[in-house]
Amino acid sequence: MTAVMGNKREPEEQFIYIIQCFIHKVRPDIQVIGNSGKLRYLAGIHGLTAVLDYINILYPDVFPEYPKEEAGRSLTRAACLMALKNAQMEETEKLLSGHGISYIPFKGYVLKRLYPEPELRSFGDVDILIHSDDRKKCNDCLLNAGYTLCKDWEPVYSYRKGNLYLEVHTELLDTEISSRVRCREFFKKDPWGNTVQTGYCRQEFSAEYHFLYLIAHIAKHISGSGAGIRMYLDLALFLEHTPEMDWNWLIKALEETRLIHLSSHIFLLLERCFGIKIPVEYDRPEDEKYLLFLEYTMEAGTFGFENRGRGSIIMKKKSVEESGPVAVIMEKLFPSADTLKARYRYLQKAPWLLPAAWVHRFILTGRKATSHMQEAKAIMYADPEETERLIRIQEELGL
Amino acid sequence: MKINVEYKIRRILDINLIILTGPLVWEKNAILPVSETGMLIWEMLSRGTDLASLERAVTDEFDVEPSEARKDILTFIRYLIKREFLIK
Repeated sequence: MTAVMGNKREPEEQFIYIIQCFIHKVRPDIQVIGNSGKLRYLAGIHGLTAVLDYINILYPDVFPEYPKEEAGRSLTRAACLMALKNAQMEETEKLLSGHGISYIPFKGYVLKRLYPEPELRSFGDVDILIHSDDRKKCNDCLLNAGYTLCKDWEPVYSYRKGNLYLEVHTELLDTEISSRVRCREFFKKDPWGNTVQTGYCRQEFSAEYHFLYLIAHIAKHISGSGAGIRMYLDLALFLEHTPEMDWNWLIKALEETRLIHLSSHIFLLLERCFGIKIPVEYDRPEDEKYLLFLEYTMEAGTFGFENRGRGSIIMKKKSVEESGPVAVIMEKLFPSADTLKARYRYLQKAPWLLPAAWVHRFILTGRKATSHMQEAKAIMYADPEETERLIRIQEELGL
Repeated sequence: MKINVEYKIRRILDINLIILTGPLVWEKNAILPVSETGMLIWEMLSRGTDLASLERAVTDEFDVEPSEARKDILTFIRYLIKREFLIK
């Protein structure tokens, strides 16, 4: 196995090393003394508390300051929730199949089986792709079965029932990730042609296609607020479980989608942090750039919302277009027809319906005026240096 | 007595979970974390075992007095009946 860095005294180093041991199913050769609180904090913001509890129960001497019983209670709570979500999704799958609706589950709900216990992989929602022709049938079937429609954001619709939050997609990407990549068209082309049948109406993406999508998903989050270490743990486990992946296809697709530069950073992270062997040659980023990427990944949690100014995140997205704070606030409140037409297709044919789309958006997103006010305040007080740093990192990653 | 619900069991390290399936999966308390003793009782109940056999199995398997075992079994059974997981 690869040593992470130095003699693993820093909590971040210890955390990554413990995750590395989790991937390779070996006992961590350390004792966490004085850092238990920080490690639990890191696990919490990265959605990996259950994984840390699992290691704690398996190897209690690694965490002499954190009682195994406490870890057991924490893991039981997490496992109950995830087991329930999984069981509820299984019922939902039966419902969809019963109505003849073809679907492809992807991301967390599929990735969970790569974990030694599926309940260790936490997820907030379950994503499925359906044919756009089945949209109405799927909506009627879910509403009749007691699901509540939460968001109707073409091409993504979300529903809630019990503990389950279901996101139904008719396309894999609703907008282009950034002006530097070419992902949307790629994933629009033929997602159903890159699947294997796993049930009467159930299909799953081929390994290469799903792996590529997961990299695109990371790119999407980095272009937004950020991506944490759990997304890379998923990839590490994916590669550990998929030794026969078609790398030629994957590299070609990474070049076509222009995600190759980001993927070289990801591959190096997987090698250095998790000891995963990448079976192809790739351009290794310089150490300084890699460490910047690692620090960026570690600092702000699963989706980049921790310790990162909301205003800077918004300004980072908009600063590419060189707008000032007031223009950004106006654009957030009243987006242009170009921005909205991906979600509200009637704007493609009738851009003059833009004011109606604004009202439609306010109603569907259900956001309160106070939330808009808070966002506007965050934008006005955004730290320009932080914004600049986030833009620089995104550019370094080719996004 | 018999188990009255569709369910599945998950074991994660020493955590035992009984998860209701079918329409009951949407109920508020559709999941039941149980101890090793609770899991043994549940599995035996699912096979239609009588109370005397349950007592014997629990005292054989765990270091517990028969009177204590009986008390624990009855408490658990009452709870299962109250939640309608078990019918007489």
